[in-house]
Amino acid sequence: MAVKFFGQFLLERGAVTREQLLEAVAYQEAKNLKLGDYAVSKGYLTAEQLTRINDEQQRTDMRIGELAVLMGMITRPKLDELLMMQKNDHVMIGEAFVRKGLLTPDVVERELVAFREDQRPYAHSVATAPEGSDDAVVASADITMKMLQRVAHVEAKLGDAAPVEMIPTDAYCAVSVKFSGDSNSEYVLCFTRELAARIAVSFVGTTTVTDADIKDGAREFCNIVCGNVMAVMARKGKAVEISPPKDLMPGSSITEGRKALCYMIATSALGSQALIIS
Amino acid sequence: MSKKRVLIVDDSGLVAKQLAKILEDSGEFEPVGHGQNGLEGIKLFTSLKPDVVLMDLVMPEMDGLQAIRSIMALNKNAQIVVISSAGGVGEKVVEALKFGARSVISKPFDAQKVIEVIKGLA
Repeated sequence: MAVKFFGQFLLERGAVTREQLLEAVAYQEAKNLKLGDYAVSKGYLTAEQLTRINDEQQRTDMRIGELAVLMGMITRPKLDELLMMQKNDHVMIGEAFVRKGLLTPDVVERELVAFREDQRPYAHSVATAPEGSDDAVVASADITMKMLQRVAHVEAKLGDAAPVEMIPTDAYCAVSVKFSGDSNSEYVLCFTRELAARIAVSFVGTTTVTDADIKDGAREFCNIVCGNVMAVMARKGKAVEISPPKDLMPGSSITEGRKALCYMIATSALGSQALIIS
Repeated sequence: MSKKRVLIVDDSGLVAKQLAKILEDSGEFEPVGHGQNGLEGIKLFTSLKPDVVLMDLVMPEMDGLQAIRSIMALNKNAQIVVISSAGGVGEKVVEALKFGARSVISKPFDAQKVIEVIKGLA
């Protein structure tokens, strides 16, 4: 069980074949145009204007719509109207299967029910963050709790977020994963040896694990959490990439100029863990 | 009937151990090798000639997408299953399927699901 896309869920269940999934995705890709192309198709921008915006985008990291407004090619109300139209025209993967005649509406509906049931544990947020925090911050805290339960069978409680300046010195190990794209947060999870060992044992399914396994398990756990955060963010329309997990030294400072929040995670009999996101 | 031979390519030794155990416990599959990056995966594919490859996507030196392309160029009938670090790597999984991967398994693994997916390969 993990946060996943409906198409992937169907493939893993054997409800569709790889070829059918690719056919539906190709249909989606043809129908769900990027904003610039969509604006041209609807007559809000000319092809020449879009080329100029694309050229300008090479020099900035701004979104197409924002650039179009900034360059005076479209007004803010028109952009909002366009975004709304694009959202309404968006073809979901289930709809794509139906339109291509690959699945019937009944089957899609039945599979959606199963999908929602599969994803139910991930649907509700338990974490809160100060106003203005990156969405990935809340999602990271939330998924960490759920994965502790799912992977390590550890019931944990999440405390309030508080700012911190360094990785706790008493951590057995600390692992960092950086988000990029629509989030510039960094996920850092600090482990006691007991918790990291519990996770490693759970991964391997045997009672004996080496120190290398334990640290590997900590990295893998963070990789899974952040991969799931990507899925949550994607559902919100945000494209986020993650770096491979990297070890951090306990006691080291948070990168200068960045903010870090520490969520205390209380776990039964396994000590408290600090989750830090900067 | 002989067991199907499975090559695991994942930079995490722990994940490889976990998958190897799932395969062994099934009694139907035999883990025959472990590559820690795409390059090692290609070399092991060539030397071991496995029936199935389980391939992670995000790895150092050479990622899974490049490795899938290379393996499919070597043998267009290769049976590759993507190990998705999360369902979240939607676009990369689709890209891997376009390159020729047959299916996908998500972490954290559900042992039964892993075996079902591999058994479901044509």
